[in-house]
Amino acid sequence: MSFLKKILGLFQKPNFAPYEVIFMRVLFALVAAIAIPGNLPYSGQPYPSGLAHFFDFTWMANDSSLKVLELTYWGALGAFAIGFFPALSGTLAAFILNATGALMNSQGAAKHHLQIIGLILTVFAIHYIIQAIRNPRKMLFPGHEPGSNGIYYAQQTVAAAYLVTGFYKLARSGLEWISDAKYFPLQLEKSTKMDYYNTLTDEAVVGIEQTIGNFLLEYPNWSRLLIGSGLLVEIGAIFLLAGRKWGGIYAILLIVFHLTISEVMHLTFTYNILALLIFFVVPLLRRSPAHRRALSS
Amino acid sequence: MKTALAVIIVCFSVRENFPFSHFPMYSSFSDYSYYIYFTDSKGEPIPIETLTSHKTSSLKKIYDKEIKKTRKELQAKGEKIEGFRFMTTEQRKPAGELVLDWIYNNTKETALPALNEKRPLRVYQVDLFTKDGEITSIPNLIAEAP
Repeated sequence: MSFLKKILGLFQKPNFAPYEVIFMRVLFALVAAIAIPGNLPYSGQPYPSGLAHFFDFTWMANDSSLKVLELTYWGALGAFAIGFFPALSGTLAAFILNATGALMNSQGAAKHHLQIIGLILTVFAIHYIIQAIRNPRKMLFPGHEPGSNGIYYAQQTVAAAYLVTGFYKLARSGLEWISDAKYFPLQLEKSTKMDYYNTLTDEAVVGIEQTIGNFLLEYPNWSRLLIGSGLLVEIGAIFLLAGRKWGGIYAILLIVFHLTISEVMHLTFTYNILALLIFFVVPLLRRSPAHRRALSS
Repeated sequence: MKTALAVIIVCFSVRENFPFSHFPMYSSFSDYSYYIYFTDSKGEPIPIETLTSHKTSSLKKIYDKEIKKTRKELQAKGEKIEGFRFMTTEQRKPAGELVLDWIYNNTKETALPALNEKRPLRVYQVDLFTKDGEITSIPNLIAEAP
């Protein structure tokens, strides 16, 4: 019982020093700044997604329009990073990124690489709008005090994204997901070949994946073990919220997990990794006396 | 924790609506899978991402969506199709043509000259099965579009 209490006790809202908040927000703004697609050559929205249900974004296919949008987005992110009128700057940045993502995902093919940045920006925007309504006098510079900085909400958003991934697998396939993992080599073959046909330049790498695929075909329990561990890692993502230390350690585990998948399946998780680094690994660096002084003041 | 719970609920409720998603990738495994690739009119593979900036995986999702639509339409007309893998090449052809058209209509003008050199493009589907502990690949020409 006391062990359970101890575990539950880890899940407390973290306290960040203002300099940490600013550092994380600036880093996140930089990452969000590079996330905006530089090329959206889409002539239609045949399968509307998100904001594309309400707006036609095909004008973004025009390079000069996209450039203006990009500059507005970077301006909004700059204001957001320094904490100026985040209810407006955050909302504008969230709207623009979500609009580009919506156009991209309205083609009948959902891409998930930007999702985490769009989600975090959306949650930040909602948080600051609520703050502005509650305390309109501090709307322009709400400050970085605990409870008003939004970092904890960003952390929860990242954890939630992993939990959804794990829960959906269980909801759709149950434990069959693990027993059917013996077919994982087919997925490996598929992703490797599709990656090869993108550029026709990865022929040397294709051989390594085939070796791994053949090994997993011969020993299907290894597939089950690998896939089962992956599911546990996703569901265990609740531990991202178990305080700085455990959250940071768990984030490193997730980064290793992503890097392994990237190596084997040629899938990229750049923004997930960066979000984990910013919101969970950076807080691990705080154990200096200067930090403690900053926190206590 | 309330925010995490809210994000989970919204993601499950609105599913694929950017920036939300229920992240369905790799949520089930089956003894069948497939991929597609593109060639020029002579059947020589072309580096589709290099030429158009669209990845094979995204194009496959578009193709997949159309195939599922066709399957539903055929089933509504009373045709019995047990599963996607049992669809004939002829039944898959409209989806293949659609994805080729989509490429032509959604590639930047600056990239079109290089792409046009390869036209008419073809799309191949490669079915993947496991048989006797090995992966069997069966390629099929699905469509060609001028």
